[in-house]
Amino acid sequence: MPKTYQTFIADQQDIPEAKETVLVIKDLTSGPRKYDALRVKAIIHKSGKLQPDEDELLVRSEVGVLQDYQWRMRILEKLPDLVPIPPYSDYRLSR
Amino acid sequence: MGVGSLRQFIGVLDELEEIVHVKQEVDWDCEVGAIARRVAELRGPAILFEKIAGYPEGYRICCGTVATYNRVGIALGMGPRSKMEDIFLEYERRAESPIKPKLVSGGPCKENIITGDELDIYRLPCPMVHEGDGGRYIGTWDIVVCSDFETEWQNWGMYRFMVHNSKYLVGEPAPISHFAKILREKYIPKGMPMPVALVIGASPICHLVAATPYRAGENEVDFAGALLGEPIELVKCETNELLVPAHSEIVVEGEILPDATLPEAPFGEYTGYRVTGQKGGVVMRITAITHRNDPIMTTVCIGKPLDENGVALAISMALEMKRRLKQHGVPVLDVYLPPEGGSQLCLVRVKTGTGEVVQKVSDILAGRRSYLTNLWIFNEDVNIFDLNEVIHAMATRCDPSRDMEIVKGEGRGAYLNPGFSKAERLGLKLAVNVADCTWREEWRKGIDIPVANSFKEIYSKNLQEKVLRNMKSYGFNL
Repeated sequence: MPKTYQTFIADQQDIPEAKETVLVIKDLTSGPRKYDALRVKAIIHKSGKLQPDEDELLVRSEVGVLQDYQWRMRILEKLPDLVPIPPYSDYRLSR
Repeated sequence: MGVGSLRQFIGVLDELEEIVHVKQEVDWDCEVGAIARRVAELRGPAILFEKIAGYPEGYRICCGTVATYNRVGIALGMGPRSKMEDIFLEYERRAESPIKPKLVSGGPCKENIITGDELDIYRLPCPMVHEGDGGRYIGTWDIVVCSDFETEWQNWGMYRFMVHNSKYLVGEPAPISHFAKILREKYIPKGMPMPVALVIGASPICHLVAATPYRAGENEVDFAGALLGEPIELVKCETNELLVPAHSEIVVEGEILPDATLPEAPFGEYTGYRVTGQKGGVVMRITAITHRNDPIMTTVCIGKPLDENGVALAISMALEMKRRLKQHGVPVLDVYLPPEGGSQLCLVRVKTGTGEVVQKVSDILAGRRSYLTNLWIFNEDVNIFDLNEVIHAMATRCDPSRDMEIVKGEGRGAYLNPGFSKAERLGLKLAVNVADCTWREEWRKGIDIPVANSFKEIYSKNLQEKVLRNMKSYGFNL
């Protein structure tokens, strides 16, 4: 039974279709664990019929707006939870 | 004096009919947030949601605790319908005399202790606050406790924390916050995890203080004691040495990892917009959850004014700014951050509006780290708590050709400013419009300074008294 997940992709012009990509996805299965997160390696497709080994993927923009079509996703591998980078690496902080 | 716990506060709100108990089952998935948002925008009562879908009876969510100045006055023990100006004065008066906390051996927050294999954050009804947020947020109206291991400083702050999965939370304390300063300067260089405690449902006074930007090294709990009128009772955490308010509803203990990150956001924020996309946040590995029986989770559905976040910042940040101005010898009378300005507009009233005073205000409030985009300075005769007076004075007394200056900088500004680009937010761009709305300092009263066409200023005292005495007999019920 396919599940439905959700992810956020900042650059909507460059969504990595049909190639391996690392995503953090949220499980949309109803219940107390809804929105539980997973880091996965997956391949996603915009078009075509959902295959037996695929799940549905909803994509939201950087500011949380839902795209009006669904993607299909094949999870290749579940990855470790954590990204080994120190926090605040994104910011250009002054002394 | 003040109200010492959330449950005590709810009891007082019940007596004053300032809270609604929603007994109908509601969904933590956006429904709680939508109701809280709607009620906040209508300036409605606080809310206690008593039945949360999928959660045991007794597990509750409380929103809007101090979302109005009226309820801030109640939290301070001043009674209902206190004037805003009086609340500011009383808050300021009490904060001048910090009271050290009292360490106790136990407390209501220890009625249930969960560690080890039973640890699961989903035992708590963490809400999806806004539709389209990055995840469920357990930390919106919270107190995040951390400490500098080289000193005795235990810092309180209010930072958002998102649920990643059952074992990890991910947070976004601002890069220029004290939390970030301690983590980056003390723990990350040593590769040490930083102990942390996320406190939910403490007394409203404690949350107000957590939202205040006190100086590095100052213990916020001392100021909370000052506002309460007695020492805050603190109890030690189960899995670290941090101290937390004993009457809290829920405490999530953990450690911030120095060498890992997870995506956090987006989240609708205090500016009234959801503006940042996902970035690497700080990762909190949960080590214990303790809570009262029938725990109450405090949540704020942050957004366009007015909500408890805006009200809290309006008071707490403003009074801390006033304290700093006074310490530097500025003849300041009032400081106000109107919630309508998304906490980015600051109004300052000064006794004498000379160029030197205005420059000093600008240097202190806009010259170093600042979340502001606008800083307006007014003469003594303008009531800065009345936005009608503020807009009138700004529009009529400020000469844009000489009275406005843009203070600019990098690396010390707001990372959530909706008007800045993504790159500018990452660069912590600072840009503050400083407007001098005071009369020119060489202008003389009665000669150069224009006379206001207002009831109080253009009519004699005798005539004012006669008119006020006879308003009813004229036929007015004003």
